[in-house]
Amino acid sequence: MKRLLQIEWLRLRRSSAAWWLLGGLFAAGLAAIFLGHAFQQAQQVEIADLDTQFEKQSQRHEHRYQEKGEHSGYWAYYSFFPVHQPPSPLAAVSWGLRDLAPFVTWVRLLGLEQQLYESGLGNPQLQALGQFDLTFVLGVLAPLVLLLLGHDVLSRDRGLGSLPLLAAQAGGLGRIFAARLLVRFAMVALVSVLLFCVATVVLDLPWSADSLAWLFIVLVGLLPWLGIAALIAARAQSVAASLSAAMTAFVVLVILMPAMLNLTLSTLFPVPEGLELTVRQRQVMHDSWDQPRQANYDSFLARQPEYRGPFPTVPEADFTWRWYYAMHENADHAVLGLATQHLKHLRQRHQWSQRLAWLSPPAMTQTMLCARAGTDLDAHLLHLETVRSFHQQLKKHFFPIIFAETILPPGATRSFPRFTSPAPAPAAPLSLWPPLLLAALLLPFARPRAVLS
Amino acid sequence: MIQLQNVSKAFGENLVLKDLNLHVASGRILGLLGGNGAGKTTTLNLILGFLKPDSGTVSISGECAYIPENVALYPELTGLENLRAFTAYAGRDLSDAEASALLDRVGLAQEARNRRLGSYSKGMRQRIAIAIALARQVKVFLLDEPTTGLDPAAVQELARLLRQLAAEGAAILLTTHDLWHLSIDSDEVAILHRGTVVDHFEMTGQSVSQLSERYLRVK
Repeated sequence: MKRLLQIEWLRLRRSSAAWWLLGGLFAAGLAAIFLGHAFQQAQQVEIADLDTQFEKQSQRHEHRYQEKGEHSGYWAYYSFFPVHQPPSPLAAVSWGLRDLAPFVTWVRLLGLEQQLYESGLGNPQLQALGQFDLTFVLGVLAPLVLLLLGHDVLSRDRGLGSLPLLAAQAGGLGRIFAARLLVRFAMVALVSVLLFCVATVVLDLPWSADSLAWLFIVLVGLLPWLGIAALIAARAQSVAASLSAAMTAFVVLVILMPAMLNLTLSTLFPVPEGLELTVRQRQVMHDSWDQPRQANYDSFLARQPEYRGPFPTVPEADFTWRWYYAMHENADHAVLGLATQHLKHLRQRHQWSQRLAWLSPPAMTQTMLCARAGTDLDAHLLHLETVRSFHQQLKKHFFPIIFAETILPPGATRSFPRFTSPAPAPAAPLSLWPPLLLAALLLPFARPRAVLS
Repeated sequence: MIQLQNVSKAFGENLVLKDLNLHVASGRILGLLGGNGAGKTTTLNLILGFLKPDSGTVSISGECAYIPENVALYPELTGLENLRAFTAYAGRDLSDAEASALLDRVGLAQEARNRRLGSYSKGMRQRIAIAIALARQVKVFLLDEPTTGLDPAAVQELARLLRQLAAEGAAILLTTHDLWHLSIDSDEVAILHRGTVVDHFEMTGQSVSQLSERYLRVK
């Protein structure tokens, strides 16, 4: 087998098409790495600047509201508090939702739901194959190169006329077939590993278990494509037929299947749009302006009696900050069911995306890589939870002051809640059985056909 | 030795070979003559094991080497590399000296050996194919239309090589339309017509014109 592998390596080395394909893959990978570097840098710079921006805002507010003796509600109304989701080291190679969903949210004391979904959120997990990150290059382009290198390992001989001689020499084509595919797989895997090594240097990726798991997923993710290439190569009767089959398989698995899965899951688990939540919440807010204020205030106090304090009533004719924030709370409460349903359906859809991703190897690889990099929907939902939790902190800090009609003391901004980056969530256990199972299902059917069939 | 006994083969309704009997002894060259569709290539494919007979038996002593009409090797490799590659496919690793000796034996010029196959003539490719067969040390050779497209000198050279192989005990079956080639190469000739051997005779004493007459009589 060693000698066969050497011969196939020599033949591949002499093939200009192979050099173009592998070189193109490497060049695309380099571009993706440098784009990933710029992408991550931009996010890190933005996150690093948050404290400075917040400090500037605090100084302005001290001057504007405290010195002028403005009500604390007024101060809180114009204060924005940054909550961010720091990128994991692997986010530069698996952007996931980080360029679609917000990674920084400036939270105010107002109703939360409208703030969470102002940017809107779909579920592009299965369709987001267009980001030019290293995940795209190694999860989509590398399989394409493997298909192009491997689809004709026998049909080319058939076209050339060397197949009968080859078969007569070898007695059977199995070992030659295996050696040819193995060499091509090894070359694509080698380019993938090289790109990963470049990424570790350029992006300063740590040599951690997560990083190695990421690479391992890439390599295992190529196995189903090896199975597909083998299946096509074993059965096609001509180069034109094998190329057509390879391109059809690629288009179906990379474009059609993810789109169909997305459509199916969208139908099965309709997710109310974030915008709808925002609009509903705003509507409740707007309606409240025309409703009896005390009734609104009472309904708030019924849920949160701790803020009753010395002021259990609000005037119907005059504006008060207590009533205003209570109105926001009521609006949040009114859409609570919708918000819970929204998150539940998003999670369900994401879980089903992960379960069904094995129907599309690139979606499967991308899903696994983004999960490892902490850039998938789970990570974004965690960010939303973080924002929600910080919003609670804000309320706990400001509501006692506002509902007690207290003026903020000088230097009050120093005691304002500050968001601190959460410790990264531990990655889920690595499960590689879907791609391995897919490859194991395909490879047994990839037996080279008899020469004259 | 090659032996076909009562071999029949049909593709669908089309009966290509009908109770075919052929025997090529060691040290002998049998020329299988026949028109298009007579069943020559099917016969070779049955001997090579690419096809299975519907009835009858095919037996050969040991492994056989096959030299197709158009020897197609890998153009990205040199002649020497092709020899070593195809020998490796057969499970044998040739040393440089062994490869060189084989190419000497088939008469491939020294300067051509390290050139890529793209610049080779048909005759040169055929020599590589014969060298590949020799490397496997087989005693049965099958040649499909080996002289098509060869110049007379190359045909002579091929004939010399086949004679040498037969002298070393090889059983050689070649299919051809080329009567002149048959006359100089073969020990015996079998004329195949519609899947059956209709004439089988020794070549000794037969001229090309006599051979032609026998062939045309069948057609």
